[in-house]
Amino acid sequence: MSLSIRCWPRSGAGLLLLLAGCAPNLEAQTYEHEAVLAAPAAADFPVVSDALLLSCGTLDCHGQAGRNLRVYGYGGLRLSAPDTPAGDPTTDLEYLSSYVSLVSLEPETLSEVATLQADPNQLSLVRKTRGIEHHKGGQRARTGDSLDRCIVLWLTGKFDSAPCEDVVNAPRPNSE
Amino acid sequence: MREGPLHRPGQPCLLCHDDAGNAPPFSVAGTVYIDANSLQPIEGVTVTLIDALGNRFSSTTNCAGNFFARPGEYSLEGPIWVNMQRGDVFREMDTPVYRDGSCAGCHGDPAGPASAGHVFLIDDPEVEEVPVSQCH
Repeated sequence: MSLSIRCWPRSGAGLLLLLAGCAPNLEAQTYEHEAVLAAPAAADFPVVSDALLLSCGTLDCHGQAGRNLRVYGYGGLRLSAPDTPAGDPTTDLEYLSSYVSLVSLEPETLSEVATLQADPNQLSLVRKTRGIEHHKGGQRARTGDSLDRCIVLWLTGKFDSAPCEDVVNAPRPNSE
Repeated sequence: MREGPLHRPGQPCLLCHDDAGNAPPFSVAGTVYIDANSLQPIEGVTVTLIDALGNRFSSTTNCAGNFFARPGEYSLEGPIWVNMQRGDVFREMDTPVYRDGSCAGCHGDPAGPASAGHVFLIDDPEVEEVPVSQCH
């Protein structure tokens, strides 16, 4: 399968995914199937990614190369050497890579959610985060809390950075 | 391989020390070294774990730099925030632990894109000093 991505800056359905059908023998293939799919805006994703990184992207969870959903960045998995988890801040390419990883999980369903034709609970991302579906990392958000709103508002084209920033800036437990 | 609390420093403890292993289970365990560039362990470091409910547990490193918590003492209920202290030197992890009770699961050497490198206490050995361990 080939996958190409076109980014349109900051629109409700800011990205088109063109999915070409599987073609083990291209010369024998007599048809080409293309689907135009919508996805949430890439331009709004960095702060969403920052919230995901802290909540889901540690090295013992989705900061692992073996995961379908990978979240790259500071404090977690880095895209390439010489960056290390405790090194430089998250790069633009890492944000893009995390974005591509997320929108590639269930692109057809994501398209329906992004265009408000499907409930966000149709996405594994949301079900697992809310604990509706089994998740090794357990329930990470409750419906309506900051992480949940951060993700769902972005998915549905109603992006609001405030809940994402609340997640990122949440005080850590008193350690003194 | 000798057994006991001084063995296999720096290795992912819960590979054996879990319910399916052949060693007494741990919920969290690891090894603390003096700094990022040294594999000299530090004893007497108090490692404090604080979970999502605010529950706290502290364990002190032995002369191999090892520390551990048994399930009866502390159950892993992530996210867990970790800090270390020895004397005036205090250090906190930047990110919490969610699933892996073995520090070395994420803190293996060498440090790289997918590993934070070994756990260490001292950020700048020229400014902060602690005595190194002497296992007998």
